[in-house]
Amino acid sequence: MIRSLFFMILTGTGALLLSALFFHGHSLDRKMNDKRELVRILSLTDLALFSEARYTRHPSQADLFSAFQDFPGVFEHFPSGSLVMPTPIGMTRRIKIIKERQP
Amino acid sequence: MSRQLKILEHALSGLLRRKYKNLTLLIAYTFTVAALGSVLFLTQALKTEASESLTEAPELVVQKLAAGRHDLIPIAYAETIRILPGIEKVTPRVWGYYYDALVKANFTLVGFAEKPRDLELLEGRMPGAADECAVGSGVAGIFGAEIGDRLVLIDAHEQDQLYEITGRFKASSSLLTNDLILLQENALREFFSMDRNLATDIAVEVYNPLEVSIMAQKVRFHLPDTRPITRNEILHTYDTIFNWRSGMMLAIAVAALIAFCMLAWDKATGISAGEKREIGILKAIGWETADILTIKFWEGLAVSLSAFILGLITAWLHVFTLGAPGLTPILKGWSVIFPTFELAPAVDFYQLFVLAFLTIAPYLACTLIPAWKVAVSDPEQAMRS
Amino acid sequence: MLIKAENLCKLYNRQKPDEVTALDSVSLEIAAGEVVALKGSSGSGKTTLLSLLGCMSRPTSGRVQFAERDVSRLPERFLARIRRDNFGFVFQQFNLIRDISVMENVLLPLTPSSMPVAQMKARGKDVLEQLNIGHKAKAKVNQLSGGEQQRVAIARALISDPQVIIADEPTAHLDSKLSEELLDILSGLNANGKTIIIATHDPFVCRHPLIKRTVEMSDGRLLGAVNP
Repeated sequence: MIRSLFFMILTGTGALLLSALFFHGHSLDRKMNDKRELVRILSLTDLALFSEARYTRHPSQADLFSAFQDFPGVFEHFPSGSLVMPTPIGMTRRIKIIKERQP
Repeated sequence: MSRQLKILEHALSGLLRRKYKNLTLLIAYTFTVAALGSVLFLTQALKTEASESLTEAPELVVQKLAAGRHDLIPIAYAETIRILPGIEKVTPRVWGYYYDALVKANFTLVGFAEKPRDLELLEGRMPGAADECAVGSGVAGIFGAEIGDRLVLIDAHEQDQLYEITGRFKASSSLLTNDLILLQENALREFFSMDRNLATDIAVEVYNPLEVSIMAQKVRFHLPDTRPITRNEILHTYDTIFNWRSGMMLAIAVAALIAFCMLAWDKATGISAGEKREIGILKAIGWETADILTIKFWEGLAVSLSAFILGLITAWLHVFTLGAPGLTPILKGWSVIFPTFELAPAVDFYQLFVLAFLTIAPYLACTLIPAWKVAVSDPEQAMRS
Repeated sequence: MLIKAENLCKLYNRQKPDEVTALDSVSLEIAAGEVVALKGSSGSGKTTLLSLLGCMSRPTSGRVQFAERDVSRLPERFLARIRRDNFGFVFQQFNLIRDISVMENVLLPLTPSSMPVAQMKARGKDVLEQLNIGHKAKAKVNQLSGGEQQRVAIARALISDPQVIIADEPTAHLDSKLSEELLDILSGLNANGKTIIIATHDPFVCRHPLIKRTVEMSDGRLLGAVNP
């Protein structure tokens, strides 16, 4: 009966570990109050997840005029935003950094 | 109980006798569960992050539309909105985008009109002068910039504008601030050459949160060329977006799952001559069909349950400890700067239950059905295999 | 009569081009405590008849009675119980499960029962000692000689203390010395009241004093007198 005991101990341990991970995750401090403060002070409306285009960067604010869109209110970027590489025509501006010299 | 343990013992013995085949199956199965689990954990965590942090987003954002496109909004509209009953506060917002041709990244420039204040998630301080800025960790990271360095942006007149970096948002807030460059509002207006009578949009707060939709309708009535966006609509947008984004990955993961089912089915329908013979022997010495199916059930459950638990633990570590490096390339798309995931774990138990059902049930079926076909035949014929 | 077979027919691949008549109108009666040898060349239908008498398969037509009960049309789960409680099989190829130990093989018939593990192991140890193979309890089957494997197969057949032992060509893989030992073991079992049915084409077995009655078979039919 060694095998079945070993299997049950192993499975039980795995299940316990999984439960512990879930419980630990649930009890973590997400710093949500700090994040909400940030959102409130800066009047943020979107997560900074997808910065490919303005309508992916600010999907909640995106206007109705977007490339390939053919139905008001539909976010077309689902197929094309991830499949079609953006080609910014006529955009030539650059950011330069001047490093602060340490004394 | 004792009977089940004895049958389980024999089932495990059978699995160990074909250990290499079963180990390969276990690894493939674990990988499939880990892939699916990673998708579920990541999207649930992102959804939770959005739904909990964006609860402080402006209750109403009013945009102006011209020819169906977003247009700058006259400040005078703010006065029209301010006098509507129920409106608590109206704040014109100035913000926009900046594209850097070298790194091919888009940045979000946000203007801040109030007095600078300390923020827990900001190292350093907010910009207090027209030539100061605060940046997100993605911006700092891509240029190697630190507090004290100068950021050079090219304005609407193709002139270099220098801004001293006074603050840097912490990495833990990168989901909100990764690509942000925060400037004083007047400085941003100058930068964009935006007319003093215009703003990007208007943020509105109402006294009674339950009346936000009604306020939105009133704004629309008085200003027909505007588009009010409520906070609920913002939050709903993130619900649907993550469903799709996860849908793409889920499509990939489902393809893996189908491939796995085909592998399991192929394994099961081609029940080996050895296994057939073994079933015949067990029947001959007095095992009933139900006993044979019990043994096969335990064999299937041992593999599938182990794979499920191992897969979920792997998915958890992948997403919440390592930051989902396997999924980031898919989510990232063509974004050049992408936030590092420091997500707080969030679990949807219903989805996990569905995942368990989708992974364990087909495998058990693939194991039991062929065994049943042999078990109901005469043992003598099974032994002749 | 303990076992009674009436007009048994068994067809394989029925109504197909390769249909085979394994048994044709076979009738046979076996009393409790008897030792019967089914003698015939390969393909004569001995194994098929054994499997029908031992409730391992069902006839295409005809009837089998065990302890006055018709078992020919019983559902499989009832047949399995009758097999488990009343019959012990010793197969031609031994049909032991390789890569598990002797003790695990011997205890297999009892595994799905509710007998406690300790009691099962005690019984297994007894049976192995009776057959002088107790010292190999932990050995894997593929580490044993032909004669030892044969004894393990017999031990497995005896573990549930069945009324009837059915042995299909038990001496096929044994030399004369081991064959003699095997038949001595079977004699001892018969002395304890067990009914034994042996299928064989080995004349050595048929000549042994253990065999009280020999029934000849050819092409699925019985030849000569068949009842005691």
